[in-house]
Amino acid sequence: MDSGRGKIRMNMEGDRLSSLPDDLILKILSFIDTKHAIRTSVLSSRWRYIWTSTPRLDFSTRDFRTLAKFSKFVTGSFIKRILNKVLNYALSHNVQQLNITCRHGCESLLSRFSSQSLKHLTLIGLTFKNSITTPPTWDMLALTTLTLFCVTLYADNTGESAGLFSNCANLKNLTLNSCRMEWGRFNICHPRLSNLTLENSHEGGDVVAPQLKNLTIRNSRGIHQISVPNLASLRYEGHFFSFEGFC
Amino acid sequence: MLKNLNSKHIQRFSYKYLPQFPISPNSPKLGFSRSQIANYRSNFPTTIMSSSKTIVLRSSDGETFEVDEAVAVESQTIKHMIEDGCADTSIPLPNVTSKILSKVIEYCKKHVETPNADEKVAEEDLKSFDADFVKVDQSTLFDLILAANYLNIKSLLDLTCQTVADMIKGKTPEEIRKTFNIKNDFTPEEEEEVRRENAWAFE
Repeated sequence: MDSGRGKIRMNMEGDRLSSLPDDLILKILSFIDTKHAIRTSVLSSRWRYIWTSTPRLDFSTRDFRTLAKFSKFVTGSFIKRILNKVLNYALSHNVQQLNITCRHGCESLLSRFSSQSLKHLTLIGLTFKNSITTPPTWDMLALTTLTLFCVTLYADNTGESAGLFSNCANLKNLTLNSCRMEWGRFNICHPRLSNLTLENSHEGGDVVAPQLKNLTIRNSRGIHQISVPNLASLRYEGHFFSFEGFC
Repeated sequence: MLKNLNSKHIQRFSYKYLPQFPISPNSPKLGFSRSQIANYRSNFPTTIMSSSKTIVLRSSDGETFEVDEAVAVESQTIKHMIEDGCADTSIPLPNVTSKILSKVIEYCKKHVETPNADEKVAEEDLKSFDADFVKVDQSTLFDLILAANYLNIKSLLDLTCQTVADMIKGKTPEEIRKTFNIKNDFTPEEEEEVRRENAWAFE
C-alpha cells in the first residue's frame, strides 16, 4: 500500500514534460511532423489542444495515401470530415500561410474557404487528371498570394462576368499552373492584381487587370484577350502564339 | 520603467524597484543605459566597471563559477545583463542549480572553442559532443531545457528540444505516456472522442 502511494507520488512529480510551459511544448512539437504532433492530443487533457497552436501545419499526400488505402469505400466523406476539421482549426487560428497538396477528393471542403487572416495560399493537385475542383468564390480579404497547380476551376451559375477570385479584394500575386476551367475559358478580372503567371493552360481566357505590372505566360495555348494598361513587363514562352485584342 | 501597464486583469500588484536579478529576457530592463554607463565612465574613470575577461556566475545553491566572458555571452540573457552594466560583481542565476549550470557552461565552452564548423572534423566532433551531451536522465534533460530557455541559449534549447521530440516521434500514445509518466486523465469515452476527432493522425 505504501509503496503504491509512493509510486503515484513519483508519477505526479515525474511528468516533467507536461509541466513545461506551453511555449516550450510547442517548441518541442515544432520538431515533429504534424501527423505525429496531432497524436499528442490523446495523451491527456493538457495535451488535447496544444497541437492546434503550432504555427505551421504541414500536410503531405503521404498522410492521405494511407488513409485511402485503408478505406476504399468511404474516401469522399471521410477525408472531407477530417480535412474540414483541420482546415477549420487552421483558418480559425489566424493562419497566414497555407500550403495544401492533395489528390482528388478534396473539392467540397475547399469550396467554403473563408479566412480573414490567410495571406498566402498554395493548392496543389497531384496529377492533371485528378485535379481539385473548386469554385472560385472564396472570401479571403487578406489573401495576397495565390498559387494553384493542377486545379480545375469553375464558376457558379451567376455568370462569367463575376471573375475568378473577385472576393479576394487584396489579391496581388496569382499563379495558375496547369489549371483548367470547367467551362473552357477563364476570366480573370481583378482590380488589384499586380503579378500574374499562367502556365501550361490549354484554354484561353480573358484578363482584365488594370494594375497588373508583370505578366508571364508559359506554354499556354488558346486565345487570350488581355487588357492590362499598366503592364511593366511581359514574358512569354511557348509555341502557341495567338493573341487577339492585346491592348 | 513600466510602460503601457494594462491594469484590467491585475488583481494584486506590488512593485519594488530594486536592481535585482534575475531579469527574464522579456522583462523591462532595469539598470543603466549604455549612454549612462559611458557618461559614468568618463566622469569616474577609475570605477569598478571592469572590462575584465571573466564573469562570475552564481547558481541557486550559492556555488560560483568563473567563466570567460566569451563563454558567458553564449547566453543572450547574460549578454544583456553585461551590456546593461549589471554584472560588475557577479551574476546570480537563482533559477539554475549548480549541477545544471556546470553542464551549461561545459556546453557553451565547447561551442565557443569550436568556432568554425566548416572543417569536417570539427563539425563531426561537435556533433558527437552534442549527442553525448544529451545522454542524460530525463530530469536533467528537462532542467537543461528550462535553463536554456531562461538563459536564452538558442542552440542548446534546439538541441534539448530536438532530443525530447525524438523521444516522442514514432511512439504510440501509450508508449509516450509510459516514457514521460503522463497520467491519462481522459475517461474512456473522452479518449474515444479525441481519437475520432483526429482519426487520420492515428492511421
